[in-house]
Amino acid sequence: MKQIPLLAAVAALAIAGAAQAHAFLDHADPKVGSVVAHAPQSLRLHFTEPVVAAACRVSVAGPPGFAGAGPARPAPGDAKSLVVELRGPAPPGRYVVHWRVISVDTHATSGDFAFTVRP
Amino acid sequence: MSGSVAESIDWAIVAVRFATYGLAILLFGAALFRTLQPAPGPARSRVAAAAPLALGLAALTYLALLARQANGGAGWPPADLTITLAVGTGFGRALVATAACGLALAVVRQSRPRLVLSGVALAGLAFVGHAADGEGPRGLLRLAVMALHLLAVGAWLGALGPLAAALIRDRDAAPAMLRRFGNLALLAVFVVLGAGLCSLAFVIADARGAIGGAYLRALVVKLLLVAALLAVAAVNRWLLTPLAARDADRAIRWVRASIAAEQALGAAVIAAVAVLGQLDPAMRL
Repeated sequence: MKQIPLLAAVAALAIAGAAQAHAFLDHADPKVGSVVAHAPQSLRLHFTEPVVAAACRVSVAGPPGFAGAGPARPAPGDAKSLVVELRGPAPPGRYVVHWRVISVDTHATSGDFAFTVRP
Repeated sequence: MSGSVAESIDWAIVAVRFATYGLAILLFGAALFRTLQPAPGPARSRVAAAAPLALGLAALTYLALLARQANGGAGWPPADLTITLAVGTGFGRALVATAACGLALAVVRQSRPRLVLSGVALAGLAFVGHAADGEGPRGLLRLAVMALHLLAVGAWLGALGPLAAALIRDRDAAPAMLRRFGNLALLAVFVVLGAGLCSLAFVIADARGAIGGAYLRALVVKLLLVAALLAVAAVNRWLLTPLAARDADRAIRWVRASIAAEQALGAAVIAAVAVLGQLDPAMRL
């Protein structure tokens, strides 16, 4: 009987998943800090934990002529990812993406990253 | 992890989290005690009558503050975002359910419905924190463990206040009452420790063994407070309860003092939990 909590704890460790406690950006497409030859039509941000897409905000700042980005949408079948469509063609230059997300366990986090379009 | 990131503690959320958890624990413990120890007591005090409404208000305020935080942390929370969180997230639905149970507890007087309502209000808080970040069967298991942990905490700490009041009202029944509560508390402590250890194992596993400094410090404070709480409870169970059979008046004086100490330590533990809920367990490199 006394071994039950210990066994349960060991079992919990044994079936450990990849979940984190707060949602941070794990990776993005285009990659963080990358230089891409072709302007992307959309951005995909993948976080370390499922996020509440309806409460997440992603903004994109770009060079003159950049038409901006649409709202963040949940990626189909992936609760950890957000997709942001760019409005119109993205001209060459440096883009800064700012994200603010709220994870399914209530925590709000924010951050930013950049990528460059250079044909 | 990529790019630059920022996070910070919102102390308003810590305060309202403390109030929500504390009130839910008190209400469940009181309902459980009243169910197990049915006795015609005095009319409810104004403080006791206000507790369910305070729980409802705290839960809704918690939700609004989370919406404010999601919006950037300044100004009033946007109504549309608050509604989105309330209906579209597990923690939002749980806080609305807790608030609804709180409001229902303000009008329901029967013991068993009060026990169910307060139990739902307390167990639902498992969704409002780190226990909610799992997925699939593992996520459900983690939520169930946390719900069990919360209910056991409520059964132990929440029943202390009604016990102290009952000891004053009915001194003749004190020895039997203390024995009965002692057995309940012993079972509750066993569940609290077992489920708490399992929850901690989930946290350590998710952080891949690398617990962050701030989280670790708050966790050590919590565990030290729990150790002190257990020491006081042990004195109550194994020294004062037998004393009540020999010298009830003397024992009751000491029991009341020990209950006050347990309540103060319990409040400190809940405060530590409120802070822990805002911190990221994983060490960020």
